[in-house]
Amino acid sequence: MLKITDLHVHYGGIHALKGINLTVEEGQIVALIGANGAGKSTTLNTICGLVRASSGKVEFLGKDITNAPSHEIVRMGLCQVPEGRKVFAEMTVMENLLMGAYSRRDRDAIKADCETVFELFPRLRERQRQLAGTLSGGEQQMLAIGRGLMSKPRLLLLDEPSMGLAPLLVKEIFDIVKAVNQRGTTILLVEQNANMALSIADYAYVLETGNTVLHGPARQLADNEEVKAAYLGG
Amino acid sequence: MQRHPNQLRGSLIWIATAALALLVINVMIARDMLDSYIAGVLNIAGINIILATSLNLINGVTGQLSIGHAGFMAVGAYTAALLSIHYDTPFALNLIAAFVTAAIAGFIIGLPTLRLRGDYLAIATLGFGEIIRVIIQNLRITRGARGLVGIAWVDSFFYTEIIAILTVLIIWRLVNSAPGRAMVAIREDEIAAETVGINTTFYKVMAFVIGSAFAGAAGAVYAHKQTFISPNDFTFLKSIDVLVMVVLGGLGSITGGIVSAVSLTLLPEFLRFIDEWRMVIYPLLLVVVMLFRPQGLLGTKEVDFRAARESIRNLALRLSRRRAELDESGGAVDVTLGESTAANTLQVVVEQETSCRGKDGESSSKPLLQTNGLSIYFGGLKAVSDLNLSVPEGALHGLIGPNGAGKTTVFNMITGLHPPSEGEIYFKGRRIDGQPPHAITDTGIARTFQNIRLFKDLTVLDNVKIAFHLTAGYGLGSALVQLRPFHEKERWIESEALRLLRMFNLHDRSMELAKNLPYGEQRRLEIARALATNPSLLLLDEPAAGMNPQETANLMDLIRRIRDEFGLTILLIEHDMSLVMQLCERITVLDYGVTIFEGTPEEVRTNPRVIEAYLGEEAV
Repeated sequence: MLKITDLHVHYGGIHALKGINLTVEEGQIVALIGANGAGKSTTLNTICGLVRASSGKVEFLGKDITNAPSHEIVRMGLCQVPEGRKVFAEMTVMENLLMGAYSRRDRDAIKADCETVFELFPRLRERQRQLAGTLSGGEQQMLAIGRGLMSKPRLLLLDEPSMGLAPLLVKEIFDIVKAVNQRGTTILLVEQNANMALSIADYAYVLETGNTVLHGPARQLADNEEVKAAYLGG
Repeated sequence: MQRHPNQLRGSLIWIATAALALLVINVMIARDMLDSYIAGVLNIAGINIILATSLNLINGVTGQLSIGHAGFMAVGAYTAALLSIHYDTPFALNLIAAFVTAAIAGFIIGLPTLRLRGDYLAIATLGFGEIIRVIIQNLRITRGARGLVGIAWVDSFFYTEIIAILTVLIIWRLVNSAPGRAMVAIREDEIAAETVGINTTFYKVMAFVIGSAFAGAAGAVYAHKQTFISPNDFTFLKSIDVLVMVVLGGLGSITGGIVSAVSLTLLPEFLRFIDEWRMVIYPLLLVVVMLFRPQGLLGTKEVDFRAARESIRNLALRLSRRRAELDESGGAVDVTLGESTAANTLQVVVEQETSCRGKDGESSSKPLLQTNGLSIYFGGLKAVSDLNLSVPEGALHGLIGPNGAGKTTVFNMITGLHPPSEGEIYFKGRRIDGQPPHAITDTGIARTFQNIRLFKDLTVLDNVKIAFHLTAGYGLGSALVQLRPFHEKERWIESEALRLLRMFNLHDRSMELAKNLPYGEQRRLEIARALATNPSLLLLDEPAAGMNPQETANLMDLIRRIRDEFGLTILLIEHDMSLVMQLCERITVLDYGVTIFEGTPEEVRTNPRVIEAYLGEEAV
C-alpha cells in the first residue's frame, strides 16, 4: 500500500534521513520505533508532504507521491495525526471533526462518519460543543485521531498517540487504534512506548540516526535482545 | 570617525564604514560636487534610517506590531519647531526636547495599549498616531492645517548622519545585551519570557518608549531641514512607509532595515524617468520582493562581521565533524546511545557547579512550598479545589492524576500564570500568590511546560542566555555604554550558559535553532533554561513525555543529579509510572481537581481509589 525506497531528507546541513526503506501492507498496523532524533517524525512528515525529500521515492497505492502537496495526499486517502495533537483550539469539537472532512463533499457519509467517531470516543460526543482548547490532553488526542478519521483515510499515520496520557488512557488509546484498524484502516504508528506499540503492531521497523536498522514481525522484534535493551527498558 | 577602530568592536565596523561613506558625501557636498537635489534625497534617506531602525526595535525586535510611528515623529517635529520659532533655541536643545517629549508620548500611549497584542495593538497604535495628528491639526499653537513656518534652518545633513549613526549604535547595543534579549524573548513567546523572570510589560514599554523617542529625534531633524511642517507630513501613510521599510528589510534585522530605508528612498528617485508609471512600478517591485523574500531582504539576520566570522568558523567545524563522522562510520550503535552518555558527562561538569548558588531557603524545618486551600474556577467549573500541598526542602514530590485532573493548573497557579480564586501559596515562608509570574520566578521558582515553550526561532545558546536575565545584574545604562563590567558580565553569562548546556549534553547543538532539535532534546533544553534562572524549586511538567524507556531512565539520573548538585526541590507531573514511582518520595494524586490521595509510592500503588481513577488494574 505504502512503499518508501531509499528516502533521504536534509534539514539545512543536517542529514536527517539516510536512505529509509519501508513497506506497509494493506490492513496492517506497522510500528516505527527508535530513539529521539532517529527520524521517525521526519519520516511521517515526508510521507505526507510536510517535509521535502532530497532524494528517494514515496509510493502510495502504486502512485508516486514524493513531494506532492499535502492536501492532495490527504485527498488520496492518507492522513496524519500529528505529534502534540495540534487540534484547532478555538473551534468546538464538532467543528474540529468537520475540518477533518474538509476535502470531502459527501454530506450524508460525513454525518455517518461523525457517528462512528462518537462511537469510538463516547467522550467526544458529550463534549461536541466545547472548545477544543479546553479539553484535557487525553481528550485532545482522541479528537486529533477522530479528526484524522473524518478524512476517511485508507492509511492513517499516528505520531506518538500515547504521549502525555495517563496510564489508563494509554491503554484506551491503543485499544482504539486496534479498533480503528479492525474497521479497515491501515495504520503506520510512531511510538516511544515501544512495549505497547509492539504489542498491537503486525510489523515493525527500528530507526537509528536516519537508517532502518532492523525490521520484522512485531512479536519477533519484541523478543529481540538488542531491541529489548535499547527501547523496551531492559 | 575611525580613530579608535579597536574600541568599536567587530559588529560596529559597519557603522564606522557608513560614517566614512557619509563623510565622503559630506565633503562632496561642501565642495559642491553633489547638487542640492541629491544631497536632499540622501538627507531623507538618513531620516528614514532613523525611523526604520527605531520602529524595528518595536516591531521587529520586540514583536509588537505598531503602525503609528509617524505620530511620534510629529510630536518631535512640532516640539522642535515651536521651540525654534518662539524661543529661537539652538538645534541641539530642540533635538533633545523632541527626543524627550516623544518618549513621554510613547510612554503615555504605550502603557495602556501594549496590553494588547497583534492586530489589536496595530489598530490601537494606528488610532493614537492619528489622534496625535488630529490634535496638532486643531490646536491654535500649532496653527492647525496651515502648519508652522520659519523654523531655523540648519545644515541638517550633517546632523542627520550623526543622529542616524547614534540611533543605529544605541539600538544595536541595546539589542545585543540582556535588555535586548528580553525583548526578543517577548517576541518569541511572551509566557515563556515571563516564566524565565522577564517583566514583559516593562520591556515592551521600554522598547516602545525608546523607539518613539528616536522617531521624535527624526521629526526634529526633519523640521529643521524643511523649515516648514504641516500635519500632512505625518499621516498614516508616513507610518506605513516606515513599516514597509522595516518589513522589507526583515523584521528584527537592523542592517536590513537600513538597507531598505536607503533603497526605498532612492528607488522612486531613480524611477523618475518613467514619470507617472513610477507609482505603478514602485509598488510592483515591493510586491515582487515580498513574494520572493517573504521574510524580508535579510530575514532576522544581520550583516555583521562578527557573525560572518562565526559562521565561517562553524562551517569549518561542521566540515571537520563530518570528516570525523566519516572516520567512525560503521559505529552507528555508539551514536544512538548518545543520550546515555549525556548522564556521564554531566557528572564531570556538575562537580564545578557550586559557586554563585546561595538562594536556598532560610529554615529547613518549614516546608519550602505550601498551599492552603488552593482553588481555582474557570467559568463555573472548579478546576482545582482545596489543594493543600506541602513540599519540604530537598524533596522530590510527584503530582499525578488522570488527564484533565488539574495538575498543570496547579503549576500555573504556583508560577502566577493563573492567579488562584481562593487559598494561599507560601514559598520560603512568604506569600507569593497574586504576584506576576516574573516576580515569582525571581523568588526562586522555575518551571517547564507540558507542550514545550522554547524560544523556537532562537539558538539553543540564546534560549539559555535569555534565562540568565535575572542574574545578569545590569541595566539599560550599562548595556548602552558597554564598559568593562558589561563585557565581563556578558562573558560570564555565556560561559555559564555553555556550562549548563554541557551538563545536558547539548553544547554541540548550541548554535542550532531550538526548533530543529528532536523532541527529547527540546525537553532537556527546557530544563536547562529553567535552571539558568537559579531556582530553588523546579516544577517539571511531564518531562518524560515523548521519551522511550531508555531515555526515561537517563532522564531520571539527570533529575536526581540536578537536584543534588543545585540543591533543588522538585515537584513533577508525569504519567510515566516507572519514573514517578522510582523517583518521587511522596506523591499527590488529583482527580477532577480534588486530592484523592497523598502518600509514598508504595501506598499510592496499592491504594484502591488511585487504581480505580488512574492506574488501572494492569499497572499494579
